[in-house]
Amino acid sequence: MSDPVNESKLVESVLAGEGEAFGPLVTPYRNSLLAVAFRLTGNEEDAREVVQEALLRAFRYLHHFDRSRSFRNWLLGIAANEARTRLRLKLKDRELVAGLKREAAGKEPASGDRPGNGFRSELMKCLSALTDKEREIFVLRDLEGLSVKETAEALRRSDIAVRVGLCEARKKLRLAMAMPECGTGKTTEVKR
Amino acid sequence: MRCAKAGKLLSLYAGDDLGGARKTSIRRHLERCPACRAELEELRAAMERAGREAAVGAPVWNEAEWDLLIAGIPTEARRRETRGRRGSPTVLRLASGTVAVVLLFVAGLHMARLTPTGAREAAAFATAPDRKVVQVEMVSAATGLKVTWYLDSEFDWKGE
Repeated sequence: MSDPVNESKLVESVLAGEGEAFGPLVTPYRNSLLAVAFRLTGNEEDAREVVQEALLRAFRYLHHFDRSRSFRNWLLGIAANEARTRLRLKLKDRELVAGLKREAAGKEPASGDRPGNGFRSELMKCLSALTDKEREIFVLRDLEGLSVKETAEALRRSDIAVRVGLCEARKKLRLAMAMPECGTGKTTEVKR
Repeated sequence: MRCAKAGKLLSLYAGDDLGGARKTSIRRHLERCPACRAELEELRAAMERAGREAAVGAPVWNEAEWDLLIAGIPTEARRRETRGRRGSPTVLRLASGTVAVVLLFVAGLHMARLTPTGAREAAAFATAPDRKVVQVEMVSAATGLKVTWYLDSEFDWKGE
């Protein structure tokens, strides 16, 4: 993570018209951005496009960034919102559902020779069992380590909505990981 | 606290997302409920596993790809900004033109009712010596259009 003081100076430089300061500002978060986008879209190609759009948005609206907040969280929130927009567009054609199922079944090869592709599919299987909102909340809170409050700010939801989503997401994740086949999209209620 | 209520909050407790009195209540319940303790352990195990797998299997950028992406951001952002600004006056012109056309159309409808023939008839009615005529004028605040009504004050409606 970047030093906040240095980060603040970089933000000022970009706002002063020094476009080349944007690279050092966002580079520390490039893989977090890609990971969040990938886990929300379920597709690496879409994830890279989401990150590009998120960076463009961040550059254009940097003057809206509140410097008392974390730049990382602000950036992740933009990425999550861009991923949500893309999901909405794709869901119209139902391609996302088919793509997530193919990814979950391991039929789509992961790009490159990156390690842990099998684990990535297992996690993606479980994430596909969540609703879009639950997935966003879970990815930001549990995988990226934002607090409930930071997650709420990033996703423009209330703390209560985040807690409710988190509750459901974790329960579903537990059930999904306990099942041999994940990603059925169905939820089993645990009756007490 | 009973199991039914504790069960609803366990997943938040598992991630240390509860505070204050509820956290204390859950902890006390867990001290005496093995079933809820087991469920808590399963929740924590699932969350830890998800975290481990996420750390290992996430896609990453290669340097060249990232450098190329970043280099293009300021230019692309300026291009979109310019496109957006250029679009606005066009939209405004279209909107203004549309409003003007609609206003002219409405004014035209009003004017069409008061044909040259109709205007002469109204004037004759108003000045007829054997009639007591009430004159009512209405002026549109939006368009300034003036409409004058001439009413026979002794008119007796005998309709059904």
